[in-house]
Amino acid sequence: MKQVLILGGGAAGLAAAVELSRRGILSTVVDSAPSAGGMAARLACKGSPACQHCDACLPHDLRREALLSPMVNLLVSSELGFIARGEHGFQATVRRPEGCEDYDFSAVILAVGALPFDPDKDPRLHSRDSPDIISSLDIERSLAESNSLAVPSTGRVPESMAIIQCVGSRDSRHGAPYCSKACCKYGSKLGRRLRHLYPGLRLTFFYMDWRPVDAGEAAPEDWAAEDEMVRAVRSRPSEILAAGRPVVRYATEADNLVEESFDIVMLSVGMLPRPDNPRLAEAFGIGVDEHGFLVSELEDVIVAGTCAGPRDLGESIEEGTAAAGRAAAYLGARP
Amino acid sequence: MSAPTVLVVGVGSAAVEAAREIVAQGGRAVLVRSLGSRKQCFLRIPSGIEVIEAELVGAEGSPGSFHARLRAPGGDDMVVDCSAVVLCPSTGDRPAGGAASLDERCAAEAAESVRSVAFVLPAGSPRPSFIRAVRAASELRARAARPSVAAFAAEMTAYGTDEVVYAQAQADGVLFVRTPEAEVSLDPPRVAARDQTTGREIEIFPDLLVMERRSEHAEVLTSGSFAVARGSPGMGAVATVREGILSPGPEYERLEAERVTGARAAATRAMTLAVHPEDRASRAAVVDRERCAACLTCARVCPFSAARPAEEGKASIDGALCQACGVCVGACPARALSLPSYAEVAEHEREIIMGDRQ
Amino acid sequence: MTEPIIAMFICKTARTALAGPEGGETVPPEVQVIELPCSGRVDEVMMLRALRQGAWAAMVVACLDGNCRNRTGNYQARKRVAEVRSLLSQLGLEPDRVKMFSVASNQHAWLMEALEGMRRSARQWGPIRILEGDG
Repeated sequence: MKQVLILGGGAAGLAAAVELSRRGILSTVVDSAPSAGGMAARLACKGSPACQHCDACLPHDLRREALLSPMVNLLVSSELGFIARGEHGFQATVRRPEGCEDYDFSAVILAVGALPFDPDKDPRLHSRDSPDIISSLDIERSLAESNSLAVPSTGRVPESMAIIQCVGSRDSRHGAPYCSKACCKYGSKLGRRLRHLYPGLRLTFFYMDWRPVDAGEAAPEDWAAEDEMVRAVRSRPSEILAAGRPVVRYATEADNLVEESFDIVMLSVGMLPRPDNPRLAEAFGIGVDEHGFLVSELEDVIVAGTCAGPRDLGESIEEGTAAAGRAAAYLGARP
Repeated sequence: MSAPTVLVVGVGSAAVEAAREIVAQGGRAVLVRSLGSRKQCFLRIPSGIEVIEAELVGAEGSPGSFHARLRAPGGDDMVVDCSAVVLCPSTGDRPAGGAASLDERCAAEAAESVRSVAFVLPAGSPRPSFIRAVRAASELRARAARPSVAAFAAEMTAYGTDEVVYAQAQADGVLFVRTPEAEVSLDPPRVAARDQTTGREIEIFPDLLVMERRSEHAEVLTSGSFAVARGSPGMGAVATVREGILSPGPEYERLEAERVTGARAAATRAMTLAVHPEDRASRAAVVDRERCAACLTCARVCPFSAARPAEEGKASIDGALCQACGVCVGACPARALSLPSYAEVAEHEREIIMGDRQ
Repeated sequence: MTEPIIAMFICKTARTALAGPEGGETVPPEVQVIELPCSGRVDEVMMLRALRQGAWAAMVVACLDGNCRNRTGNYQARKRVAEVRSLLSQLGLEPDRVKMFSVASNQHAWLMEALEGMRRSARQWGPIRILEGDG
């Protein structure tokens, strides 16, 4: 039976597998992590308390459907060992903990995702020098695992927090020159979740531009207007100092230099293309763009999700769904 | 089996892309569009897509068998049977008089003599407007005459890799002014604002003034007189609250690449539902007419308007609309409703705490 | 000291949250999981019967406001839970024996925390004293 190889079991990969399964098409999902869901599965729900449309639960719904479907062969802790194009598709070897398995695939969907920016790469952030200067992903994990966030150095409930947007993005020297697109959405929603969990928490949201993915999303000034514990500051801090409590140094709109300390400084990190994208592209006969993201013009190698560029979860899932449709069309699985 | 028919409703590029994708996936695409006061549409419709110039006024039924009611400009109604509907709402008429509107052609159509251009994007401009203005600005700057170009915007919404295009335009000398509300007058064209980033007051008298219109974000997707609410996140990608009616959302809210993705995802979902419709009839709620007291509590609580009064005022469940959620079953004071697929819940009512359960 | 018996009425979407990162559901044996097509299916009979038949407390687990796949099902559930709580109060029973929780499918930790909270409270109360069959 014809089947599709899906490299990467994150949001886009799972969306593709589930859509294919609903069409009665078999797929094999290969993911190197011990469980599927990718980056997305480690994100917390941002309900505060109503649903905030953060989409973080969707990969879990998709994973459940994929696990229950006989049409999805989900291989975790696995890697693609060998791929070659044959007459009728691809021959591949998948390396699993138990050993290697050979497969024939008619089409491939590449959904290998992206990497979060590592704040340690930017010395101005001093994230290595203070346990309280942490990335948004650390906070997501804490919320997902324990539904709480404690100040790392003291273990106490946080009373003040700075959220710094665009970390590793719009930055040609450290990180990437482009905008990571999803951070305005997740940074502000994460802030709302924290405000809901900790009513005494004072938040300061540092941002450059407001780029919502959902057109109806309230801008930081409007959020600050409706919540007196929230302050919106349109400024890109020049440095985060680790002096006892973390200190944010920034210029105000009046060009005054200010230094403010907080219990926690959250760095909303952007996303970077995986460094092995060029090698992957070469193996499949496709290309990478100027930023290192995958680009395919081949009918039987379809790229979906953040490996193709900065995306939020919703768009990755749509892309995975669309990729399944393309693959199905290619396979000639017609009604 | 013949190709399933999917109705695509909309006048923009998303509708054309969705229709094209449906054909590519083996379906029959019928593009329904109501140009209204627009005299012409610049989009090229690929061959293989049927076009009906009409407005969608209603769609009854369920995935696999919808009866879509269309109203032609002359006022005649027709019914088209289809398996699914893809709704692609797009923007209405462009702003009139004086200022040029911000669209793909505004740079190309600018007169050769133009020496100074201003783009004005007020607060509430659609998400893709900014990068559209940036691209047009760059196109104008590339002319031999190198007109001076200024863009007044409430927010610089250059998403993803568009940020690099924005940076290049800045380096190329396009003046960007961040202001929530620029003062605009048309005779002669004048734009004035205070740049929030630098605090500078800026006033220019452009030869060409290009303006964007505000757009309202709505939870309800409309195309003419047809309206359907967006689906919640858990309902899945491109979903609306009605199963079988898909939508990538209003075109004007989505960036170009997002439009293509959304249209293709909607086409894909439509084809999946068309090809593998679920057997709804067997899972719908069942009315025990002996017990039904015709109180119509079910009709009031049903989220899908599937419960309605029928003979003797007693409840009748429309199998095509019923989603087997059970809200009516729980609400019925006479316990006249049941769900065949959840019979074991009734079992639990008799013996909640059991020794062994499957 | 026996463990408290808890009846958990949970919709099939929220049920995804019962499974931990490994994929398996890890509820203690004294917790009876009753899956509903939608939290809106829950009714007074179900909740009261659960208590009458030995459950020390009943949880109704629904999706977050704004994310019910059936649009308004979770609002219906909240109404019914509120009615039952009011009834329990009037009968001289602890209204907190029946409680509604809003959970997203990726909130496993929060659901387990909520369950622990119910078990803790239930230990204080024990089963209700009106059992079926008593004269």
